Amino acid sequence: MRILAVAHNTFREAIRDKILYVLLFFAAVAIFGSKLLGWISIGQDIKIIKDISLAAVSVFGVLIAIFVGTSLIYKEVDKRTIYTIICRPMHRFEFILGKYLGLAYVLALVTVVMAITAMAYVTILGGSIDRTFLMAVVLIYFELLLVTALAVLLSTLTSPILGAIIVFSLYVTGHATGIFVDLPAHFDDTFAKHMLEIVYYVLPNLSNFNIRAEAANELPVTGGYFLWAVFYGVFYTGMLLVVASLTFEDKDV
Amino acid sequence: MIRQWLTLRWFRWAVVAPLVVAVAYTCTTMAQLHIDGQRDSDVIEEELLYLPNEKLMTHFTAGLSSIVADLLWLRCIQYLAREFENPDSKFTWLEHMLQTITRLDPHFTGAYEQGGTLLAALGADEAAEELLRTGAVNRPDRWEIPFEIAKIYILNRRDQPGAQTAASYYLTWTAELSDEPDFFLNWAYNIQLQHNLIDSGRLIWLQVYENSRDDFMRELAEQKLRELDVHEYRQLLNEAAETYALRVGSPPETLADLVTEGLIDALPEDPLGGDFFIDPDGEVQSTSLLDMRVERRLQSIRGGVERYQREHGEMPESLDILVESGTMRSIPPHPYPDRDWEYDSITGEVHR
Repeated sequence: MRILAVAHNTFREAIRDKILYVLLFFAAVAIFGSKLLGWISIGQDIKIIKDISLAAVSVFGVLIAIFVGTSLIYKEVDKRTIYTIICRPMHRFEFILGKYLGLAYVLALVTVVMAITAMAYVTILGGSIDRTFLMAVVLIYFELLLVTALAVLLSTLTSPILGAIIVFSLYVTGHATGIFVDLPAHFDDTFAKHMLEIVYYVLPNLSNFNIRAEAANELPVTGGYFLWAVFYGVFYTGMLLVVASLTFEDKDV
Repeated sequence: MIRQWLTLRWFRWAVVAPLVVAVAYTCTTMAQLHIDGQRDSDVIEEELLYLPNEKLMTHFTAGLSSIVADLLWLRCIQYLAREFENPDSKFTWLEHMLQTITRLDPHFTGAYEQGGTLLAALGADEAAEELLRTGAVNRPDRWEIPFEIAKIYILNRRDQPGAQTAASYYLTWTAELSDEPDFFLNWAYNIQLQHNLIDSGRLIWLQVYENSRDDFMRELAEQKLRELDVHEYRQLLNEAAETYALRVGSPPETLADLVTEGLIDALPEDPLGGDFFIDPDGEVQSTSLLDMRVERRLQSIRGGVERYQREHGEMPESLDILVESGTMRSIPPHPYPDRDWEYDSITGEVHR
């Protein structure tokens, strides 16, 4: 109940943030503007519109998660508003979870708005929305949940700017983890290979959530893959939230 | 007075702001035009020359490799449009662009389908077939890809032995994946019975011309239909020349002999602006078709010279070295009878 109260408050606070609307505006411009590129694509307009729309949902969602998420806890500490909360009978982890859920709710709303806009636009322009497209949107949301958890963790540790830089770097690296295991054969059984394998399993593998190319090309994705990706997202996010709560428990405020 | 006006909020927003924006916009547009004028026109080639490895791009575009493929596809279309306008067009980078696009987004059906059509239309049959075969592996669900391979056999390789069988095979494959299997199966059956594939080729380009929403593809279809007209005229003239040889006992020396003998009413006009002539073997040839073949073969040899120069750090002493070193399987012969390629081993230039 206390968690939900914090979440509700965070949601109200976040939707008042102007940056949210600025990013939503640019996402809408990207989605509607994609038709301009489609005109010169020799019949590939629907594919390009789907590609850009899904990328807009993902990229702008990640930007919202990073910009809002990294300042979430830091702002409370910096403005001393945290004192009014922690003096109440409330655990610190409840505060972290409440903050996280509030932002997750905002991101759900933003994702749904952007996805519905994109789907309506694709349909109006003569395209069709299949199951893979919906799966891609859901997986983008799970990717956003993971990035938000990372942002919240960084928010308990460092300033928003540094936190945003670190989360963004991890976001890019998270999509490139394949390079850690994609090594030539002469690296087999070497120390370097084992170390890189460990790095591969430690870092968040965000490419698991990326089925946007399949959605744009109207390719089927198996339910098994989808469920494993969701499973990965839920547990990785849970792990980050536990670490964030533990960090915040020990933090002097 | 002006100061007083400036204090009015509506004046600032309705007059001053639009005026400032209009002036600034005019200035930036002017600057952009000057910058574009001074920029090297080979910018697309330069971009491609320094394009990072697609594997790296896949990793470091933060999951946006599909978008990068889309943008490259658009760049590819701009490149094609520019090359089509250029009388010395070589389309040197088309194959590389298509390979990069399909490696970045291996499921990009349009790039396989349209790319295969374009490469085949430019005479790069082998590259087109290779691209389409990769497409068939990555998109086994799409009928368009085997259909494009069938089109290569119908349009480009119709004179080769086994072309009919190969075309029928790919059309049968198309039928298995398509929603209209009967149409493709009938086509496959008819192709087996046909002596030449010009009519099938015409049907394909007519469909592209009528169904394509894109001006670029329609223009290409128009050009290809004109090419097929030249092929058909050439075929008719060859048949007339054979009849002449049977009647007179020797092949005609010039095409005018066919008119004199009453085998044709008049010499047909080449829709591509070339001329028909009889080669020393007694075969009727078209200069427009031969010129196109010359360009394609020149491009292939120039590519071989470039590859050799990159690999060995020097120009090959002669074109035969390209075969001896394994850079090229063979040097395509000059399409014109009694002519040979002119090669300058100092500059590496090859001329017709």
